[in-house]
Amino acid sequence: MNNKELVQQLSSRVSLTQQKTSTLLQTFVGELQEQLLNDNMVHIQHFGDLSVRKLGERLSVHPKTGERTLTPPKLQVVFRQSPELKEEMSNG
Amino acid sequence: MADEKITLTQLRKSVARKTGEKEEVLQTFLNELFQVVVEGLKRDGWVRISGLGQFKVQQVAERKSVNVQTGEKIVIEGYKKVVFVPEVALKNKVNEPYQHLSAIQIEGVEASTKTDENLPLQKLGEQADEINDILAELVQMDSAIGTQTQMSSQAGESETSAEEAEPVSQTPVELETVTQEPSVEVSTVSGKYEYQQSNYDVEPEKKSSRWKWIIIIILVLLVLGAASFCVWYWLSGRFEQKEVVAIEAEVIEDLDTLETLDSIENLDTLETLEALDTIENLDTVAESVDVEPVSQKPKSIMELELTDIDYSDTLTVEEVIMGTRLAQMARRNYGSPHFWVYIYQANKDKLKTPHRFPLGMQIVIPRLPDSLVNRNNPRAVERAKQFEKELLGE
Repeated sequence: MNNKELVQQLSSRVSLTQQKTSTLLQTFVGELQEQLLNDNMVHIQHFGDLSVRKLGERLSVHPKTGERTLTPPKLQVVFRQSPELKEEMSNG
Repeated sequence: MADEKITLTQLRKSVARKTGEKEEVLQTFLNELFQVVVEGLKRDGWVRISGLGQFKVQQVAERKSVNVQTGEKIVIEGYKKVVFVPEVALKNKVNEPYQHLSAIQIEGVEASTKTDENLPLQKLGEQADEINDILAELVQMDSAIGTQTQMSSQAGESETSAEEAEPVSQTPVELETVTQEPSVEVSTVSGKYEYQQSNYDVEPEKKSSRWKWIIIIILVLLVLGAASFCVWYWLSGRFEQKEVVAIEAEVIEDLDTLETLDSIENLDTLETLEALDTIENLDTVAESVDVEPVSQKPKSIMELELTDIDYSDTLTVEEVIMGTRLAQMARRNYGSPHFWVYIYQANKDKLKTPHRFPLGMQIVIPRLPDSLVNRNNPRAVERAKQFEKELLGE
C-alpha cells in the first residue's frame, strides 16, 4: 500500500477531504520526525515503538581481502512492534 | 528532551496546536490511520508513508530452543514481524551528527600485513647474509688450516691432529674434517663440506661462547659477593672483638680493684684507687696481648663522656632559623635525631638550654668519628640516648 492509497482510504474513513487528510498526515509525520530527531522514543499504542538507536563505531574486516575498515558510528531509526501487532499479524 | 517516551496523545496535542484541528478529530484520525496501516500490512505486506518510510512484514521462521528450567526441547513457532525501513531523507536527517564521518581503511594495519608478507623474505635475506659471512670466515680459516696442515704434514701426521684441534677448538665434525685432511690432499677439501659445516657448527659455537660469557659473569659476581661478605664479616667481627675486649678490660679492672682492696685492706681515697687502677691497667695491658688494641684505641664509646669528645673539627655551621631544633640538625647531619647531644655539647658555651636559642645564631656541627654518630650502630644510638637522659636530667 503506497502513500496515495493510504490517504485515500484514510480520508474516506475519517470523512475528510484527501487534501486535508494528506496535510494532517504530513504534519503528524513531521511531528514524529521531530521527536525522533530529539532522540525521543515514540510509542504508538497497539502498533509499536519508533526510536533512534546509536550503533557504535567498529572495525570491520573484509573476509576475503582482509582489508580493515573503521566504520563510523551511526544513528538509526528502529521500529519495535508491539505484542498486539505481532498477534494481529500472525493470526490475520 | 532527550530519551523521553512520547505517546500518541502528546503528538496529537502538538499536531492540534499546529493545524488548529480539534483533538477529537485528530484522535479518530490517528486511530484510523494505524488501523489502515495494519490492514494494508495484512493485505499487501507493506505500507509506505511518505516522509517516514516503509513498514514491511517479515516472516520469522520457527526455531528450536530449550526450556532453560526443565531442559526440555521446545519449538518456538514462526511468526510475522513488522519491520520499518526509514526513508533516505529521514535516515540522513537522523544520522546527521555522524554524517560527515566516512569509513576509513586502516592503512597502518595494511602496512603491517604487508611487512608480514615480507617478513619471510627478510628473514631469508638475513640468513643469506649470515651464511655469506660464515662462508667467508670459513674460507679464511680453511686457508689458515691449510698452511698449518701443510707445515704439520711435513712434521708428522700424528701430531697435526692434536695441534690443530687446539687452535680451531670447534665441534667434532670440524675435527673430523681436520683429521681427514692430512690423509687426503689439503687443497681438495670440498666446498660442500664447508657449507654443511657452516649450517651446523657455527651456531652452537656462538651459543657456547655466549654461555661461557654468562658463566664468567656469574663467577665474577659470586667472587665479588664473597669478597664483600668477607669484608663485612671482618668489619662486624672487629666491632664485636672490640666490645668483648672492652668488657674484658672492665672485668679485669674490677678484679684488680678487688685484689688491691684485699691487699691493702683499708679504704683509700678514690684518687688512689684510680691511680692504682691505672697502674693495674697498665700491668694487665703488659700481661695480656689480647687487650692491646683496646689500649691503642682511646676508649670504648660506652666509657666516653660528653666532655671527652673532641669537637674541634667542624662539619658545617648552621644558622638558626624559625623552628630549628637540634634534633633536626642532628638528623640532617648525622642521620639520626638522637645525636643532637653532641651538637649541644659542642655549642655548650653559646647555648644555655638545648631547647631554646636565638634566631640567627651560628651553631657549629662538629665532625665526629663514625663510631659515635653511626645511626646503624645500635651502641652509638644507645650511648646518645644515655647522654640525652643525662642532659635532660640536669
